[in-house]
Amino acid sequence: MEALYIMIPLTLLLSGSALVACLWAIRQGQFDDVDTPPLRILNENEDSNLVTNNNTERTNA
Amino acid sequence: MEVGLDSGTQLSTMKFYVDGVRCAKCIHKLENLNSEHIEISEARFNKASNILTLNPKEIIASDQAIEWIESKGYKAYFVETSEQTESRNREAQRRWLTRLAVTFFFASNLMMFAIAIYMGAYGEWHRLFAWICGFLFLPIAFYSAIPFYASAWQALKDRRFSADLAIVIAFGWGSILSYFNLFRGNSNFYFDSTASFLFLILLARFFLDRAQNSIESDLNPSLLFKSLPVFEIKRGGDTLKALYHQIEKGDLITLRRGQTLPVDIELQSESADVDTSLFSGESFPQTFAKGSVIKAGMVGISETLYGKTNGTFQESELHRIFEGVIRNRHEKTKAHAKAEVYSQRLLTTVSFLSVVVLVFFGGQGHWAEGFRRALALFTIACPCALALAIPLASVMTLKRAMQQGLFVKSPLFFEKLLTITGVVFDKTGTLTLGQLEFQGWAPKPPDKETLQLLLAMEQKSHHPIAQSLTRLLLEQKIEPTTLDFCKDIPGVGVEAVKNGTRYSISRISTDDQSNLNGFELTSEGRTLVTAYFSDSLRPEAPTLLEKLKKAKLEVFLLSGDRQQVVSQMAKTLNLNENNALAQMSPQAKAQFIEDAQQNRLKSYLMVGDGHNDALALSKARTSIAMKGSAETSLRAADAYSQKNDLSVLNNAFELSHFYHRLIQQNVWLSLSYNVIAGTMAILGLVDPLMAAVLMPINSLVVIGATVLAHPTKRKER
Repeated sequence: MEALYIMIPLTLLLSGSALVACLWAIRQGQFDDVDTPPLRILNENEDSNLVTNNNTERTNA
Repeated sequence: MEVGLDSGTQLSTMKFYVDGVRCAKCIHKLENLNSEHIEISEARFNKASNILTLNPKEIIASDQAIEWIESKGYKAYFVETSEQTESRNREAQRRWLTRLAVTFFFASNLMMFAIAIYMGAYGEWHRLFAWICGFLFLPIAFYSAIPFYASAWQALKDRRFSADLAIVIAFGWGSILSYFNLFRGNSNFYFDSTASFLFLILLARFFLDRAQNSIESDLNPSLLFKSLPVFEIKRGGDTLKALYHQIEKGDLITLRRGQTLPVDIELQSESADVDTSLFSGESFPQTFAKGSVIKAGMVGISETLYGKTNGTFQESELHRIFEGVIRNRHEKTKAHAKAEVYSQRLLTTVSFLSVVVLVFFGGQGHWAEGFRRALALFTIACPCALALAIPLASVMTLKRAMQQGLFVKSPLFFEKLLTITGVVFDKTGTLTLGQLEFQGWAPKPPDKETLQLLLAMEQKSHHPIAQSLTRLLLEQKIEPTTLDFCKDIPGVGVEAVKNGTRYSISRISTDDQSNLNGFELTSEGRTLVTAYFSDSLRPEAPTLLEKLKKAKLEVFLLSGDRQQVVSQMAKTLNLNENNALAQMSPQAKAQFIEDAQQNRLKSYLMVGDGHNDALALSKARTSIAMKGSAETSLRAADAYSQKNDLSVLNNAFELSHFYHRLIQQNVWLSLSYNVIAGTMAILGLVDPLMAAVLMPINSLVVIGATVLAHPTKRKER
């Protein structure tokens, strides 16, 4: 049972770090818009950020 | 005072509410705007709020940007948000998430240690776990519950009883008692159920908040001039740029096409075509001659128009209409949802009963027993099932409405819709399509050459008839011919020369009976062809009106249009002559509704679209603005249709019944549970600990019943 004296703080520390990570993500604005990014990724053509896409686009067309 | 501001064309981010975005492809089209127009450095779309943000590289007028967005096939509205409101909304959203995350962390950890106690931890371990629970509960009591404390305090200050006050009483009682027993070394504490109760209610509130706050924004007069907010004026020989409220009496103002006039003016141009739909509701523009007075709120159709101002924006009728809308909306938001009233009554009854039980046993000397039973009763009968299920029912109905193309600002709309006794329609743009449609040629359809000539000439004009014809001919793949000379003469028509022959198009308006408008093409005193246009009735309007009448609802038609036109339409719609009122000003429409609703025997649903309906929309018991409405109407109405179809009214009524059933079902479910369990608590059959376990079960039943509910499709015909 003495193991509990270590495990209880450990539990709180572990789940507490998850909370800290969550709060960090909120403050970073990662939850400000959750609807658009999953749709944005579906768009394969004409992505100006990826140079390699220019070639595949031409072969597709 | 600051004159010379250039706020309409500043180099800061611009936001647009974009309608009709459904898929990834749409988002891509919008976000790709920057590759098509070098003036834009970045375009980002937010699907949750339907807001497109543009970062301009150089100066862009907002109407220019709207044109670009609309060329992609979406309707766009300029959103007037200052940086402050923007960041305030974002901060509010983040605060909500932070609060939820913290509450979830502490409530779930607390639950683990509570389980150990339930499993039979004893002695030193029991005391340790109990104290851990007590510590983990601290942030919940002093951080998570703050919004409820604030709202309850407000309710106390206003001397009224609110649902939040009830929640704070239940929560506060649970917490104080738990700490009291913890310090006394007694095992009766409810940290776990109190914490989960608060978390669930926070969660429900968060979703309701999100469902409601997506479109509602502040009313601001600049909405009226949003697309071109900067006016060119001459004051004492200087040419200045000014915003609507900076214009003074005696300034000379130049109004560009599409701009809304901010002040009353005396026309200095020879003649001008003006869209007067704000006051008349008529889709056909009016021609004004030099020297006539044009009122604020009218929109210029001629390329440019000069006038001398007769007063400031504050002195105009437009300003009075706007003030009225704001005042009415403010009064409306004071109303309370029926659901909230239910939980208030329930809680008042329960609190009263608890006190009675306590006093009854206490009077016989059994204070401890009385306290135990009163607490069990209070815990069991706490309206948390209701407090949870009602926001949930609201969110479900709001979401369903949105899927059906109806944007509802508050669930109160559904409650109000069930109490109405009549429906008031605007004519132009609501019962009719709101645009002039081609009706026919006279004496006979012209040959292709004439059509090509007509197209070339009408392309020069911004008159609604010219635009309608241009659209029609382009659809028929007619190519415009080349002209030697062509000029649009405001208020008259178009003049052109081809191969030495003069042609002229002149606008005509037939006798008042038939409500037809059009133009004739003449050449050297000879009429070549005449074309007729009219604003036609929506195809679904007659059946909808029949349905409403069958449902024993009064149907009214209020229009700013001429008497003959309105009577004609009333006849077509099989409407009583007394229920169709013509030549109604915006104030008259609102007054009509106010008078009828005065003694509370009658309440109306108003359906409209123009600036001229905004006052009436805000005055009516509840209101719907049609797709493509003027901004003031969008803000004034309780709901906004995203479908250009009147049948959205049917959906609204069905959803109201669904919402009503859902609320009733929830009230009965939790009420019957409360009565049974409450009686058991008074009789001493349930102890407080058992009550704490039973309470979430009731919540789960109500939530389950809400989520599984489906609007039963009533058979039509």
